[in-house]
Amino acid sequence: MTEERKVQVSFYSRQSKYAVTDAPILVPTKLKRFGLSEIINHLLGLDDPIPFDFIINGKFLRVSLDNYLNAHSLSTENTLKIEFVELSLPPSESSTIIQDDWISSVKIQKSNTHILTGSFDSYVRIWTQSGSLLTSTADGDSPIKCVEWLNDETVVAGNLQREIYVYDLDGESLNLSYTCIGHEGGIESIANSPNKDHFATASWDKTIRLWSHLEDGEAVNVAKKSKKKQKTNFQTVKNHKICLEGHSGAVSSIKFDPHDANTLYSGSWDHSVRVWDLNEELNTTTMNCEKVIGCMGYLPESKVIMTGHVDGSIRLWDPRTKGNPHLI
Amino acid sequence: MGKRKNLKEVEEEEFPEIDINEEFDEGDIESEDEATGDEKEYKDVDDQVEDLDTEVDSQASDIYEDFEEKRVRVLRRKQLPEIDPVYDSDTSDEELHNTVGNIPMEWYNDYPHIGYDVNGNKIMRPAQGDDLDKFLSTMDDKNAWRSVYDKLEGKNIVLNKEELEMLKRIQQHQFPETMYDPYEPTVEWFSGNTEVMPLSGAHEPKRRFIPSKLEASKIMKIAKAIRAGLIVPGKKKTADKPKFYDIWSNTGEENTLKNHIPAPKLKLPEHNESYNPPSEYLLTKGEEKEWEEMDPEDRPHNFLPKKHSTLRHVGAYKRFIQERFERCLDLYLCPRTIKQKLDIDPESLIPKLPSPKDLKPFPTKLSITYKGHSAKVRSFSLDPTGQWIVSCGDDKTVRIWEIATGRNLKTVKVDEIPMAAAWSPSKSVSLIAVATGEKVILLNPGLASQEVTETTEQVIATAWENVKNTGAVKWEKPTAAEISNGHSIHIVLPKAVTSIAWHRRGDYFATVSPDANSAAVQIHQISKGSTQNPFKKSKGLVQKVIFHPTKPFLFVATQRSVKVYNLVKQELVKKLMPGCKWISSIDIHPAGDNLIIGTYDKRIHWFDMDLSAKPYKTLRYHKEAVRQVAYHKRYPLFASSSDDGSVLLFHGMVYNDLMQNPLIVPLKTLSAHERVESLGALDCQWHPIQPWIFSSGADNTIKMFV
Repeated sequence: MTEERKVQVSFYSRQSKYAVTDAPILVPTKLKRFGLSEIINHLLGLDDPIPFDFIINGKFLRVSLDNYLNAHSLSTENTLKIEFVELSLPPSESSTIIQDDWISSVKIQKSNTHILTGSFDSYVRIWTQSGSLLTSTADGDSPIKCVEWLNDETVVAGNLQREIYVYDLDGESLNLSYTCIGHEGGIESIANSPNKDHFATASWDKTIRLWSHLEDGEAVNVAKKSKKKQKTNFQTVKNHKICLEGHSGAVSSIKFDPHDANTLYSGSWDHSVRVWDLNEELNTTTMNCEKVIGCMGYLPESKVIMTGHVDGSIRLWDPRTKGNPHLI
Repeated sequence: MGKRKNLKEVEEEEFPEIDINEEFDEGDIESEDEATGDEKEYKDVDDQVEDLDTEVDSQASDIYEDFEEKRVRVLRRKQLPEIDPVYDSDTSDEELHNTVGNIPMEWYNDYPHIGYDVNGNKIMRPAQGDDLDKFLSTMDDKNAWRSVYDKLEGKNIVLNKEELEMLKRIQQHQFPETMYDPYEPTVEWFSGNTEVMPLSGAHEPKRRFIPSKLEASKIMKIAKAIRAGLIVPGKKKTADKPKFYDIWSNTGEENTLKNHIPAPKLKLPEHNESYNPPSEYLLTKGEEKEWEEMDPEDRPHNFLPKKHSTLRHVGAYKRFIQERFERCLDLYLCPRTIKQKLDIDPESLIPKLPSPKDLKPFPTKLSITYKGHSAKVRSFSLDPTGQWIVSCGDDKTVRIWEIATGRNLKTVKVDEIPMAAAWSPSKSVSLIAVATGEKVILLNPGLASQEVTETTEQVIATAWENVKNTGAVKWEKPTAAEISNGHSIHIVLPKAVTSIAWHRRGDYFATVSPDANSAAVQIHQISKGSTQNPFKKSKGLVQKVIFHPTKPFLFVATQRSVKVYNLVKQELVKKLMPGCKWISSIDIHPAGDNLIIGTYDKRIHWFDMDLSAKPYKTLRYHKEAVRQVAYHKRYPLFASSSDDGSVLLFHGMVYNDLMQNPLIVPLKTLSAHERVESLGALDCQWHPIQPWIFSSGADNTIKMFV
């Protein structure tokens, strides 16, 4: 009879409600996730058992402790530090919204969780979460490239033909509030400022433009010459507040810093990520890589910029070090 | 007189018969018997004489006298008197009267005397007669034949018999003296024998008693070798050469002839050639039928395997003689050479090229496939900003795509299959030239900004103001429906247009109609609304034309050559001969000094126009005809697409330094398109800004690689 192997472990959690003692506990190595979860439940003295997941050295434990120790050639003499988190299941598909044409952009409303989509058939649609169409509208005849909720009642859409439409969601209908004119290339990305009084658009014309949401626009006749019918069409039109020029290629993606309405991050086809100071209207930092940046995200917790590239790679940028990106 | 005559006859008869040996023998015998045999001899001779006496009396007495005289002389010679070694005993110089010495005697020719005797008295020249006297005296004197004229004495000396003998012996290369014995036994004065009384009284040398230094050094050498282990004492020599060898061991044919090449061996028979093959080797009915239908040359075997129970049942082979004959014919006709193997490291032959890893960026991955065409995509073009693609499909559509998303934004239907489309390189206008049949359509895609659209409309309006339509080429206004589709101008040419090339400013473009002999190349100017034909004569089957990126040059690629024309001076600048059969495509480096040509015979030729009219490099990487070649505008890259469905990427660095040749490195093969009806990748173009390549193919798609 071989004696049962045991190892000293100390549990800790980042979730404060599940704080347990960090004193080492001797547990048999044959335990897997379920066994460890039982121990935690016991430690916490929970009536209803909550399943937990365990992380050792940044990786989820998917085998028994014994196997893990063998695989990493660790000794049972040492204390193993195990982090535990509440077990969450992978997301599952609840419903499918089918649209006729390509969807270029999807955004979710904060309060009602309505879904806003922009499509290549030039329609802006709002869907309820159950998958039924709430409302839709089309003002231009050009594919919508990007959409954004400015607040719960206002949406903004940019299309390939340089037009930016701002709609008010009035109950179940979208009313055109005003259009923004100024870009000379297709709109690629819209970012809403964290204090929600202005928004920024990025375009193929290599510029980023800032538009004030609160200021009133002016009524202008924007009759289209290309149409046969020379009808007059008065619309409220706004001009940009700030135009940021500096990129040498199309600006594909922009993001505001959620904690700082003055900072804007932009990624461009000129292979650079730039940080802009909106007060000074200045490009404070420029970071370069070798690939075209297709899309960009910002992690406010770790203050890291993520970029997606056409060759399928993802890069992580730290705007504070201004150094080279980390390729994943 | 009669006696004398007789004597002379005798003398003459006798002379040739002189037998020296006989005489010497006689002499020797005589000398041996000197003391005793004298009288006896005389007696013998007397007897002989008595015998002869009765027959020839006088003659006999003469011979006798002569014989007597000879004999006495020989005796005298042999019995030389003992020399008394006193003063005056040598009388040899007394005989010499004349004391003038060894001088040319003709010096005395003018004097009556010929020299001086010992006492200083003149020796007078003896009387000499004329030639007749000389002759007469010669005739008279019986000793004339053996007399020698002595210049010093000025008279004849008669040689005696011994002296004659001596002369004869000298003539025969013998020793003059009869008595001389060259082979006398030598006296061994210095021999190995130790004499009681040695000839030399010298002491024995010291070296006889001390050890030899030479031997010591030799021994030291061996000793050192033993210490170093080079010589192992007591070790037997391993490689004992055999005392005898087998002279018949190498009697193969290969040694009998120099540079003999053995005939290729026949393949050994296989199982199915057996008279009783295992049943799996027998062909089924279907296979047999298939074999019968196959072309005799394509058959895997030239016989059908058959099973026989015994070898006896195997029939005669019908084709035996035929096959033997063919084999002999093969051996006779096949060219056989010895393959010379070069002992060169193959690695060293490969030029040192940088690794493709160091030459990034270049496209490696398929990013977007642009699907939509329902037939093969012949040609496409990118707009100068790098946002849109226009493509020509065989489904009679011209489609405009957004590069970033792969969205087919616009589809324009045309009446005939569009052969080529080209986006104007000018960023201030938005125009696409599309060649469909005999028509060139200038399309305004309507995707540009307000400003550009206005400029374009203005350009079109100016063109219509200037259109005169004087030549064979007609500029036509499109219908209203076509205008709403984006059509701006129709240019109708006499023959079908296959290719379009824009000038860099976007005002001119050239079209190629290969069938229209002298009007094959037409240059259209939009601002003037006119078309001109730069060439009066046909230049051959024109394939493609392109404009030089900076200079007013036009490159005309005909079937086999590329001609460079200066459009301002209207003259031929250069003719490039790639040495290929059929040029398919051409592109010029953005710097303007280098050119690549793709050919239907699978090659790509790189021309350095500063170097020569022959290709700087020929690349044979494609397996099928090359359809398109393209340079990148910014990066040192070029690409080629081929009917094998692949797009090849190359690094083509052109240096500003004139001394440095362009560097060409093959980078990557992109298997871009599937082959459909033996067509693969039909066109390839680079993105104007990014290092991305686009290719269109017979599989109805356009693909972007990043």
